Amino acid sequence: MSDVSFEARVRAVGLRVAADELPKLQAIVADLDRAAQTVRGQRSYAEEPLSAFRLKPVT
Amino acid sequence: MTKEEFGAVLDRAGLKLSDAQKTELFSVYPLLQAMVARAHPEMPREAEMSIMFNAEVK
Amino acid sequence: MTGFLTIAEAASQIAAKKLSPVELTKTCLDRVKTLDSKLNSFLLVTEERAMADAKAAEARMMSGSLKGKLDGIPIGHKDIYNTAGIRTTAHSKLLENNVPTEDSVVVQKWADAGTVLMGKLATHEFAIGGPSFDLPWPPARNPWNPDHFTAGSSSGTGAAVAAGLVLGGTGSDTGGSIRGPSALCGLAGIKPTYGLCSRRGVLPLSNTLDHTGPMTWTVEDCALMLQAMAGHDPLDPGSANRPVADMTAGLGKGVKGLRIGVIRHFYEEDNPVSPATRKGIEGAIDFFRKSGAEVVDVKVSPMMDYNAAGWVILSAEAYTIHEPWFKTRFNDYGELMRDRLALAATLSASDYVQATRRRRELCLEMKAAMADLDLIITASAPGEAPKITEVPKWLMLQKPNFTMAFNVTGLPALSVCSGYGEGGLPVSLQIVGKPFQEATVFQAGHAYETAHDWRSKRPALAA
Repeated sequence: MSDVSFEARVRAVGLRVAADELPKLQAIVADLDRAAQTVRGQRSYAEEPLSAFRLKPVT
Repeated sequence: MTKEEFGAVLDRAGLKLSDAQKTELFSVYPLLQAMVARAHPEMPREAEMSIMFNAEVK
Repeated sequence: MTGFLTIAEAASQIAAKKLSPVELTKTCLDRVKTLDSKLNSFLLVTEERAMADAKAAEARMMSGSLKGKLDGIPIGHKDIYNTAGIRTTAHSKLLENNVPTEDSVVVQKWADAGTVLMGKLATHEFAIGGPSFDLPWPPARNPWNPDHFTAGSSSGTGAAVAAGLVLGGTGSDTGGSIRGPSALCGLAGIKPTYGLCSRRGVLPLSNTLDHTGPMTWTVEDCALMLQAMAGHDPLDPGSANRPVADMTAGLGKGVKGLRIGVIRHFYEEDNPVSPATRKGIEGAIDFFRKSGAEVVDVKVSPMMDYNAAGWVILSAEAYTIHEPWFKTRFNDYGELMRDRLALAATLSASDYVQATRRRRELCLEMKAAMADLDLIITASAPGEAPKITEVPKWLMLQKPNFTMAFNVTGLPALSVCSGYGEGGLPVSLQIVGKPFQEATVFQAGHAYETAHDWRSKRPALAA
């Protein structure tokens, strides 16, 4: 991810970060991105998430 | 979001869109944002989601 | 060709050995051969399998061992339902050569009930694109006028049932994909309560909004088909572990004593419907009142609120499912599916979580609105089907639909034909019940349908 894209991304989500804070934030986000990538893994598109929508029957 | 920021978000998502595709999507992006805003009303901090984690995994 | 039979009529004649399942299947196959070049409702006709199924049903008929009312009934499955050894494509280039090794649970249940599998039916790509002209197969067309849209995403089932190519079929419904084509093709189609029918083995679109359900010519047929597909599936995390009710229990009992709410602002203010659609709904309200039901107006949040929460959740969940292919095969999708879902790349995690919190509020609001009611009625579509070339690409963002509210809340919702508009195409209304009260929905739908003459008319193309 380029520096320009990272700045754009930060602006896009409405965060206002001081210029000298940006490198530190970018490093943290890079770690988070790597963690997210690990979580993704190879899965079947049919695999269900753990959280389920629940509807209680009429009482 | 500016068009440049919008493009940056799509690029980061790993989608390979042409400029024409990005331009069209950016033109309807405000409609999606209006929906997002409607789905973000004032809610108490403790408001629960409609999906539930259940420790008893099936 | 013989005349059109409903499932209930065919079942009665088969039980009395007056109708041969083989002859019935041949009639349907002949109709497919004659008509489907104009309708494109089938992606694959499984003629040999159909004849084998029909012969097996006929043998059971002759030996007095029929499995029930669906034995020997020709059906089709939307092509997102996995069928063992039979190509299942989602109407997409991405799965053009996909042959599953197992049946989906619903496919297996209908097979166990003795149905005759006629083939796989067209869908909007992965149950969300469409009507698309850039896929390996053309889009299904409306039998009432092939220049017009079937709605979707269960487009092939809508066309095939209306034209009598099959007597019933499966649909799936994430934001209205059973009720939309049922409305525009003039069918009875129900999105059951979330959790009533298994979704295992059906290609997912949005895990917390997806429903499976039947589409048929009449309400009675819809009840019979739903009965055979409902039931707990321990391997579907969304499945409800509770006994299945008798779906036909209320048929013929009328509506006397039922309390019915009308969400009038949905179709008068939030998305004003055509005069014919409004006339149909007002006629139904009048019918229910005169038949002894109590009818009151109900007000809930604007329809766009339900659509907004639903669309954000649907987009986020569908994007997650398709993300790996989006990154590697983006341009193998059709334009409509690809572009509609690509927008979801801009949603944040908090957008999704907020939408699920809003969904909970909306569920509670609808529950409160229905506390003293048995049913709700409102529109199921804005009017007659538009021309297939005039369906706006971004319609779902521009105008709220009438069906999403009941995907968001998970309530059972039935679309029934309520007459015909100026263009001669069907119009419709929607009947909504409390959780797992499908039998009451069918009770009212059947009372309304059998008191009107809409079912005596089939598309001229097929008649």
